[in-house]
Amino acid sequence: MSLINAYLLVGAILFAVGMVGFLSRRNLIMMFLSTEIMLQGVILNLVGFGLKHGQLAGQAFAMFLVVTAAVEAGLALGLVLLLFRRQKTLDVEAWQTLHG
Amino acid sequence: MHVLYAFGAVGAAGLYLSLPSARRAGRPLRWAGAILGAAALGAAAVYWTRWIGPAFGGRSFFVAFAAIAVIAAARAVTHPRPARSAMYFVLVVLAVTGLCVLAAAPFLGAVLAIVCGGAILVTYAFVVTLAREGLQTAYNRTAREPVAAVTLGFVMVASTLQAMVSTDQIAAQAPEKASAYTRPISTHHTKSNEIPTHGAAIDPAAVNGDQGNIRAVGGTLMTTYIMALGVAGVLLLAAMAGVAALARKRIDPAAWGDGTTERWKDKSGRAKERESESSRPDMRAEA
Amino acid sequence: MTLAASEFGALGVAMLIPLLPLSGAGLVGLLGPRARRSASHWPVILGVGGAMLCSLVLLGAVQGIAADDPAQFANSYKICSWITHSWIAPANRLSFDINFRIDPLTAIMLTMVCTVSLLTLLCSRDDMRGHLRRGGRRRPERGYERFFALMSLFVFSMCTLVLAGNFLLLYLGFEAVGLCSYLLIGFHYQRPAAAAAAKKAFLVNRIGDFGFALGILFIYLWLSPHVQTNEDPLDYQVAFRYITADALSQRQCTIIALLLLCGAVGKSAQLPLQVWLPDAAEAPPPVSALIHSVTTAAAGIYMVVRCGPIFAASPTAMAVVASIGAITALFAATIALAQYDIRRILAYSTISQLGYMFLGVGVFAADSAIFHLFTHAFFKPLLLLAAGSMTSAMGGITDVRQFGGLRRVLPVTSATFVIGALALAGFPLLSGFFSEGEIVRAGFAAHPILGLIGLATGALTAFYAFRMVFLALGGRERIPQGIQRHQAGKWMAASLVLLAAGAIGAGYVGVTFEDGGLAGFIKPHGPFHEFLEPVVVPLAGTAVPPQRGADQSVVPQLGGYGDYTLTCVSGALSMIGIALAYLLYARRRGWGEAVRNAAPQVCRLLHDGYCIDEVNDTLVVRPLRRTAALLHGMDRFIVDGVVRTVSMVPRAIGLALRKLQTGSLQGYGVTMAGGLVLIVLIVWLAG
Repeated sequence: MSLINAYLLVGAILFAVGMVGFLSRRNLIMMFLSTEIMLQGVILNLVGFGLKHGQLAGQAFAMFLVVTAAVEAGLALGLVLLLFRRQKTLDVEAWQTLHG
Repeated sequence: MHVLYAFGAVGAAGLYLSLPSARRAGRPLRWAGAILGAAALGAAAVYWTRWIGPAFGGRSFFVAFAAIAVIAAARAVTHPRPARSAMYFVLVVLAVTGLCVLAAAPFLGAVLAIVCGGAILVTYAFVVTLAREGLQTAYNRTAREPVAAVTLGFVMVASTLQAMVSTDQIAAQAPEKASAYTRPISTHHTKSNEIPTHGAAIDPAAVNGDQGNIRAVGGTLMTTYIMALGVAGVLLLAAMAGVAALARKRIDPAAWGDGTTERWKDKSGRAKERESESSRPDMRAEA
Repeated sequence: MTLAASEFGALGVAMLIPLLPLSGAGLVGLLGPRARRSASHWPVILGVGGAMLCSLVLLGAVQGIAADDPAQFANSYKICSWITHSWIAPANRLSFDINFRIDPLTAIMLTMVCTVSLLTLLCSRDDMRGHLRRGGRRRPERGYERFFALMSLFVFSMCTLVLAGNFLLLYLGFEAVGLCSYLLIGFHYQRPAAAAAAKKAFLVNRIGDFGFALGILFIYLWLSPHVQTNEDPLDYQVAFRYITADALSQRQCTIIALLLLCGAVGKSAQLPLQVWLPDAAEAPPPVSALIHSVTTAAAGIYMVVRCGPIFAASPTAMAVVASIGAITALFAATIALAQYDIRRILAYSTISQLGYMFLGVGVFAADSAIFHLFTHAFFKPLLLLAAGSMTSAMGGITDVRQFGGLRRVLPVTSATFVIGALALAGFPLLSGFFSEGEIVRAGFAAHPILGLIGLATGALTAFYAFRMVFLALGGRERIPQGIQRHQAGKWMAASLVLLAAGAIGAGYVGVTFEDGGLAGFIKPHGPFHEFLEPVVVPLAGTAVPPQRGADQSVVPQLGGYGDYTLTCVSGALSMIGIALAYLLYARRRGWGEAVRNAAPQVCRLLHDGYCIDEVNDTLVVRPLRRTAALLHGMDRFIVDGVVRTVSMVPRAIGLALRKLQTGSLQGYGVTMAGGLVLIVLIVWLAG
C-alpha cells in the first residue's frame, strides 16, 4: 500500500468514525461535530487524490470545502440555538413529530 | 490484506463499546472499548510498517499524525460531554493539518487550522456555553442504534480499502489499464502522472513545481477556478445573510418563551395575554 | 293479407278507438294537477265516449263486411312499423309491425269495453268525491285526476289488446293491462292493505305473463322455419294459417297452448293463479268494476278465444281449459258461500263466472263463452258499483253483518243491486239465464260431469248471491253508528239504471224470436252467435269437435243447438237457490245460524278460502324469501368481501410502509448510509 493509498485510507477511517458519531449521538451539537469530523476525512481524501493525479485540483477543491464547512457550521449552530430555544433541550429526539 | 479487515473489525468493536450507553457496567466497558481500539490501531500500524519495510523511517511522521487523528476522532465521538468532545476535535484538526503539510500542501494545512480549528471550533464553544443545561442529561449518555452505525462504518471502510487494493493490483498487473485510473481530470493540467512516493516522503517540488505551494495554489485558484471562487464568495454572503436572519430574535437565556404572545378574552371580557411556552410539558419552566 | 292504412276504408275508425282514451289520459295526466282538478273527468269521459261512438261505427262496418265477405276478416291492417330488424337477429324479418285485426270478436269486445267503461267513469265521477259538500257539489278526493288518467289508460290498454293483430302487440296490451291494474288497485297506496294487494296482483299476473311470453317465443321459434321471408310468424293471420295447415306437431301445439293458457289463467284469475282477485277488492269500486268485467278478467278469455286455432289443434289443451274452468267455478262458488265482506263475495263470484267461460271455451262452445262474457259485463259492474255505493254510504264498512235493511235508505242502489243479483243467479228471462244455460248445455254435451259441475255451480251462485242480497238489504234497518247517509249522486244513479237495463236485456241478443222454443217464441242461437261465427269457427260447434272438410278447412257443426231443456233446469235450480237463501237469511235467521254452527270447521275453511293463501305463502313465498336472503348474504359477504379484500391491499401496503417514517433524523441517516453502503458493495462486488 503506497503512501497515497494510506492517505485515502485514513480519510476513509475518519469519515467512518464521523458517520458513527453522527448516527449514534443524540446531542445536536455532537451530531454536528461528527459532521465536521467527516469533513476532515473528506479533505484528506481530496488531498490524496490530488497526489494521485499529480494536480493541484485536489487542494483547490479542499479549499472550497473548508469554506463550505465554515458556512455550514455557522448556519447549523444558529439553527441549533433556535431549536434549543423552542424545546429547551438539545436532544434530537424532541423533533420526531413528523412521523407516519 | 485480510488481516487488516480483522484489525478493522476489532477496532469497530472497540468503538462500539466506547460509545456512551446506559449500561450499568458502563465505565469498565468503555475502558475496555478504548483499549481494544488502541490495540487494533497499534496492530494495524505495526502490520503496515512491517509490510513496507525499511521505508518506515520516512513515514514515521505520517503514522504519528494518522494515529493522533484517528484516536482523537474516536474520542471526540464517544465522549459524553460536548465540551470535551470539542477539544478532541481540535486535536483532529491539528493532526489533519500535519498530514496536509506532509502531503506538500502547507497552505491548505494553514487554512484548516485557522478556519476549522479556529473559527468553527470557537463557534462551537460559544454554542455549547449558551445551550448548557446540566451535566448529566440522559441523552448525552446514551447512544442510539450504535450497532447499526458501527456496522455501516466498518463496511464502508472495508469496501473502500478493498477497492483501493484491487485497483492497485490491476494497475500493477496491467499498466495499460492503469492509465485508465490515472487519467487527468481536465486537459488544462500538464502533469498527469502520479507523484512517486517509493519509500520516501512526498517531494514538494514534484507537487508544486518551482513556485512553491502558495503561489501554485493561488495561481490555480485565480485562473482555473475563478468561477468557483466567485461562487464561494456568494455562498459566504448568503450564509451571512442567513445567520443574520436567524439571529434576529433576542437571545435571552432567562426568557423561556419562544417570543410569541397568546392573547384572549376571559369570561368577563377582559383581554389577557400570555407568553407561549414550550410544547413539551417536562421542559416548561416552573414559574 | 296485410293492408296498409290507406286501404282501411270504413274501418279506419279503428285507429281512433285506442287513441282517444290515450289522449284523454295524457291530457289529464300531464295537465290535471295544474288545471282544474275537479274537471279532470271531462277529457277522459269525452275520450272514452268518443271511443264508444267509434266502436259502434266499427260494429256497423263489421256487420256490413260480415254480410258481404267474411273472408276479409283474416286480414291484418298495418298501422306502422314498430321494431325494425337491424338488431334482431333473424334475417328474414323486415320488422315487427303495429297492426290491427278487425273482425266480429274485436268489434263486440270493443263495444263492450267502451260502453261499460263509459258508464263506470260516469259513475266514478260521483264515487271519487268525498262526503263533504261545498256549494252543492262534493269535493273531489285526493288523486282525482290520477284516477281518471289511469282509468283512461286502462281503457286504452284493453283496446290495444283487443285490436292487436299480432302476438307482440297482444303482449304489450297484456302488460299494459297488468300495469294499470296494479296502479289502480293500489290507488289508495297509503293504505298498506291496498299496496299489498296491488303488489300481489302484479306479481301473480307476472307469473302468468311469463308463461304467456314463453308461449309467444315458442310460436316464433317453431314457426320461423316454416314461414316464407317477409312474413312475421307472430302475425295472427300468418300464425293461424300455418297452424291450421299442420305446420306444427300436436305436441308443439299442446305446449304452446298450455303456455298461452298460463297467461289467461293469470289474467282471468283461474286456479292456481286466482289469489289476486279477492285481495284486489281493496281497489276503489269503479276500478273493481272494470277489472272484473271488461278488462283484466276479460283479457284472458279474449286471448284464448283469439288463439282458437292453436287450442283447437290440441285436444289436451282443450281438456285442460275445460277442467280448469269447471274446477275453478265450483271452488270459487263454495268459498263465496262463507264470505262476509261484500266485495269478496263479488270477487269470488267473478272467479266462478270466469270459470264458466273457460269451461265454455274448453268444450268447443266459444261463442257461448263470449256471450256469457257479454252478459257478465253488464251485471257484474252493476253489482260492484251498487255495492260500492252501499259501502260508501255506510262509511266504508263492507261487512254485510254490520248493516242491513238498506232498501229503504238507498232505493235506487238496492233496486239495481237486486236486478244484478237476479241476473247473476240466472233468474229466468234475465240475461244470465240464457248465457249460463248455454254453457251448461255445452258442458253436458261434452261430458256429464262437466255439466253437473255447471249445474251445481249455478245453484250455489244463486244461493250466495241472494244470501248477500238478503243480508245487506233485507230485514230491519240497521245502520252503524254515526254514519251520515247520503244518496247516490245522479250520475251514479243514471249509470246504475243503464247497467241494470243491460243486465235485463243483454241476453236477448243471443236468442232468436221464432215460433216454438221457450215460452213459445224464444229460441237459442240468436244474432250474437251468428255474428261471431266466422271468428270462432275452430272453437265452435256446440261441443262437437270440428270436422275437417274435403278441402282441409274446418267445417263447423252448426246443427243441434238443442232446446232449452237444460236451461230450464238451471233456471229452476237458481229459483230454488234463491228461495233457500230467502228462507235462511230473510225469514228464519236462526236456521241460518244453525246451519253454520253445525259445521264450524267447514265454514271456517270456506271462509279462509281453503287456506290457499297460506299454502302459497309456505310453499312459494317463504322459500323465495329465504333464497333471496341467502343470495343477499352471499352478495354482501362474498362479493363485497372480495372487493373489500382487494381494497384492503393498498391500505395494508400503506400501513406497512408507514413504519418507515419514524420521524427521527438519525433513523433516516442510518437508512441513507445503509443505502450508500449497499451501492458501494454492489459496485465493488459486481464491478
